[in-house]
Amino acid sequence: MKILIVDDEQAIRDALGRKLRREGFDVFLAGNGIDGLRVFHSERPDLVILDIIMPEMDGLTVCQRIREIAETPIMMLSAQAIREEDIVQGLNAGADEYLVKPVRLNEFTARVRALLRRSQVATPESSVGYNDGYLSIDLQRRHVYVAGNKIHLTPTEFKLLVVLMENAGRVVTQRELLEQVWGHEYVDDIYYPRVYISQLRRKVEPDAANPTYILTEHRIGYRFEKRASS
Amino acid sequence: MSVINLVSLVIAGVSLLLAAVMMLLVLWQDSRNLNNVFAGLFTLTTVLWFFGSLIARVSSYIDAPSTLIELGVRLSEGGFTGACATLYLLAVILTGGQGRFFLRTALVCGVVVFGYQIILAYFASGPLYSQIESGTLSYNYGPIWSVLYGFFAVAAIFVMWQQRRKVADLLLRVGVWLFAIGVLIELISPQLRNRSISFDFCAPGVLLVCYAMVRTQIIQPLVGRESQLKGFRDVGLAITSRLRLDEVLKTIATQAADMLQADGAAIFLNNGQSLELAAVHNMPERFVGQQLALGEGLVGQVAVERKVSQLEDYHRDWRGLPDMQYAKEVFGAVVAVPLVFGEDVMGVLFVVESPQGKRFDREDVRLLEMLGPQAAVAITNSRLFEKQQELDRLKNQMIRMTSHDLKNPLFSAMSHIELLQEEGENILTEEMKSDIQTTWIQLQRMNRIIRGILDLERVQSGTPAYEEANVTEMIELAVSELIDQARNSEIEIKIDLPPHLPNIIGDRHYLIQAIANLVENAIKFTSKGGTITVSAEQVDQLVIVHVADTGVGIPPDAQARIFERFFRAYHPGMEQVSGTGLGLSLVKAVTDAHGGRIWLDSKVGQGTIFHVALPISGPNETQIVSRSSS
Repeated sequence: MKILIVDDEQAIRDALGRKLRREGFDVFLAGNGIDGLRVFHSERPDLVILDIIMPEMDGLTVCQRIREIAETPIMMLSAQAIREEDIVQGLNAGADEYLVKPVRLNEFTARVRALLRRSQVATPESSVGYNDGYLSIDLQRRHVYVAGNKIHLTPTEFKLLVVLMENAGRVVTQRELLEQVWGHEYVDDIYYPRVYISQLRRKVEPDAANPTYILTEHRIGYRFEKRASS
Repeated sequence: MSVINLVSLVIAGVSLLLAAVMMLLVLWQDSRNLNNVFAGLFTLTTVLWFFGSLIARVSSYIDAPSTLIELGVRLSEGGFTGACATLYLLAVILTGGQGRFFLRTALVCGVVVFGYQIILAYFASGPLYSQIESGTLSYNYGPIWSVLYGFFAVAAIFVMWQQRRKVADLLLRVGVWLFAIGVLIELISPQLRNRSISFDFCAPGVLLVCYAMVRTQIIQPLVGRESQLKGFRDVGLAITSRLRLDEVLKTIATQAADMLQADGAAIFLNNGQSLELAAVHNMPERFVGQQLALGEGLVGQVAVERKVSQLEDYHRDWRGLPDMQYAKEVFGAVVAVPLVFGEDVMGVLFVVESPQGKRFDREDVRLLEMLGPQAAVAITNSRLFEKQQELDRLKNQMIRMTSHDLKNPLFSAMSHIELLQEEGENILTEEMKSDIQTTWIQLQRMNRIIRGILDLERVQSGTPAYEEANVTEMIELAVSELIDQARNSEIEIKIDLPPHLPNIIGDRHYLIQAIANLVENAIKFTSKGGTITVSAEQVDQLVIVHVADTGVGIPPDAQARIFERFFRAYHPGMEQVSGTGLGLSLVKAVTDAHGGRIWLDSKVGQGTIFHVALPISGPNETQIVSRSSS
């Protein structure tokens, strides 16, 4: 497994690299965004870890550039998260995960593993997909179609959609979502569902402002509503 | 002397008496005003003229000695000369048309004319008058005098007509015109008998002038006080309801100009070294930013002297540097009011009229003087507000920088210590491991401090995430974080909870941290062997969490300040206790954000109980809507 770490602080790069190497990963290091993109293109890593504030090109831009061409899981690792908006911004740029420095190395590797797990294991417990004529989900091939067009979902978005769809008609609480989509390490990261749901709505709903598939149950969670096939 | 003649004389006499009384009132009210002084002279000379004429006629009627008649004629002649001259001067003064040497010239002319008359009275030969019949005198003015009187009368009519915009009161204008017509009639018919006809015009004229002065200076201010106060209150409200400095200034300028119905207004702000034109109303915006040295221009002078200054005609009266570009060409009457707050001159309010515009009266100036301090307060307010916003911005920026600049090296150091611990497990001596552990603990402490600052910032800036939270679970989690620390200090922590506590709507993360902070605080200030009890109960729609300790207690004077950021109460013998002074601030901020309340009971030497009451339904709905994004 190849992991790319992009951080302008050499000491941090080294420590994270050493830790991950000892855990058995192939690690590539880059000191700024442009180098990071270059290494990404040549090595095609399985996971990218991005610092946000960096000279030349910041992490959010790097994240967007990678998202344009690949669905590789991306973990933002920043000292910058003060407010929810900062985290939302990172996730909106296409990141799958947002970790705030400082973080314990063991937690960091646990998150890396969870993220890899999430993106690699296709989990169609039931192989029954979903198709109502407008929205169609192909669990086998992990493809989603909206009005006949194939859309791109990140691994996390796909998993979120699948979990909601499998529980259609029932309210899935934030906690359940966090556990099932992200993993039990994440139950306190209650921003994730909110941000991802809005991202997902933008991609699959006919009108993201007035959702018809993914409905909010105020203060409890979310509910997927199937539609009669047309 | 006919009866009609007598009646008209009596009416004229009564009118003049009335006018004189009114004039006294006006002079008593303000005797320094040039208008009033000249109106007074005008009234006085007219009265002289009338009484001279009266004495002469009555003397002639009762066949009194000719010297008495002569005295009356002289008095009448002098009075008439004075009345004509002061009529013209009054017209000039009322329209603000006097030049720089006006007073001096008027004085010299007066002395010359009256001196000449006195000399004539002593040395003139020949009879001054002829008696046509008993009580009717014939009297001739010299041709030069006639021309002079005629000139005064015509000039007064002309001036009052041409500059009519500057004399707002119609009665005043009509009064002057009536009098001038009376004078012309007097000249057309030379017979003293006919003078009573001229009095039919002149006496009402004087009465009108005096009444107009009483009206504008005494009656109107009294009658208009209520509406004026209301208008003034509106202006005050408009000024003080703005917070951004540029808006405040613009509003002051606009309101001042509107209140005085003036053509334009400008505000200069004092920046310490000079005055800067900061806002204009009805003037070119491109002038904004122009500088004026203190003491320069009328505005600069007002700023230095801290006294209101008023000019009737900027072009004519101002000899210093112009206050603005083209000021000499475009300004007529102007008023400059210093805006004083405390000891400082914040700036100057400058209200102007065009050269054809009205003149500012005493009431106008008084209103502006009243507006001045309000405007100064408003300016100070908005400056403080802007300064505070700037400070807030700087604070946030600093906090962001702190977060980034401190967290990166901290993270780096922590990571390397962790690696060292892992990789050195089998190599390092126990002593080395203990050193590394100490370093680790200190780094953790640093991390807690930074996190404390950031958390506090975050809670106060209002971005908690609300969900349904289980109180029992939160208390247990918070306590579990600190159980080791308590054990190290040989303190027992008891949890005493009822079997069923309702869930509350709140931010789990912050609530746990708040409870943990209270417990941690209790641990710090409780000595070995002490007990900390965490309990909770439901009271109506509230869940109240109590954290009680058997510690040193908080002195009453410190209790009020204990929730302030960075405040640390002094406890004798507890100086070694470490802390940031942020813990309780965060508890307070979290409680506030949840619409709750925090208070404490404490006895020095016995212990402290903190109570945190949280509404079960969370903060009210409006807060949630504004705080959650989906």
